[in-house]
Amino acid sequence: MRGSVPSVREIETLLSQLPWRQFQSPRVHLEQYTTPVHLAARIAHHVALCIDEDERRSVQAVDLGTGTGILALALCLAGLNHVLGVDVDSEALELARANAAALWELCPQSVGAVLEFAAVDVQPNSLALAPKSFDVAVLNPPFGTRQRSADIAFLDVACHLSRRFVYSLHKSSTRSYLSRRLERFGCTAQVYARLRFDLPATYVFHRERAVDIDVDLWQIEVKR
Amino acid sequence: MRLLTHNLLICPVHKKPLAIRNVSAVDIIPVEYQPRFLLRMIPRLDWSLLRAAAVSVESDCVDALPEAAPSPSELPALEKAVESGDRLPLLDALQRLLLETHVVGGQLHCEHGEFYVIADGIPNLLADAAVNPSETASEQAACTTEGS
Repeated sequence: MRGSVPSVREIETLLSQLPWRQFQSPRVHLEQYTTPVHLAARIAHHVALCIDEDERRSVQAVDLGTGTGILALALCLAGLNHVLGVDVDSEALELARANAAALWELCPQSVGAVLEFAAVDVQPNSLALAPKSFDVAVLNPPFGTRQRSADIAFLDVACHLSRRFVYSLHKSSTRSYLSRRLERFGCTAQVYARLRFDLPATYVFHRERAVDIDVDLWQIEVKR
Repeated sequence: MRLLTHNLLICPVHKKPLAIRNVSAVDIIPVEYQPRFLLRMIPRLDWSLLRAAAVSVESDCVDALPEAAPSPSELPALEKAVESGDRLPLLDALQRLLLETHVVGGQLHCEHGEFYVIADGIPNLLADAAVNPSETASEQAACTTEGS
């Protein structure tokens, strides 16, 4: 996977062939839902384009709350060669690893990616990762609908871990709040894209089959 | 778990580096040589932790690792050598240790006593998965026998 970034479509096509695109038994309190493959592909594609081509293969990225690993794998396909996926749910990591094995079969060029998984709680108090260990942190956090400000805790962790960039998805309805908060932190932040999150009815309390949620992809440059 | 990942992990409770112990299985899986990534990582690594890890997994690369990390002033010369295509023993050792050495089974010990388990190559660093030997002395004895 040298050279130019593959297209969103190419990444998406590969991701859509993975066996575990959904959680087997999602846990409500963690707000588990899988990143839709087209969103994962777009995010990864954007992240890859933001990094110089000659640097892309030597940055260390982390995917916080990786779940079944879709976003982490999308990053590998986009040409980021060093990705660590962490999640509090160690069973989900088993599925992530099965996905990785399936991807290496589908796309032998990506076998060389240094992709790792670890069970880590993405919370400021119980985080098991050393600060500023990564160049890029990518996250599709819980949106905080079940547990208030769950997404903010994830974002704080991401800014604590990354040296340069954080890419994060948040509900568009929280845009002005987030923008003020990030400004207070002294981060340079911008909404890079407004996307549509088609959240399939993962939980029994989701009455409709699928709900579309407007989400923002934020690009945050971390204060050094 | 590659030794690269090990170098980024800390105890979730005490925020201290973790020592690899009771290693039951290690895999060596070659990947493409990545000198630029390795050079970039040198200033960020906890060097003594890496050296200790290399000893824990009984790597034959231990001797190629100097006592201390190359200083920032030495890095430009290393970069130059890499750009001109030289294979440096130091980078070969880092390639093998950080990127190709996987701990498949073992434990990660905090200096405060508790430890975390690496099972099937995935380390579990959740605070509630910590094993505290002082609380579960008999269990720990069982683990140690298993690990050796």
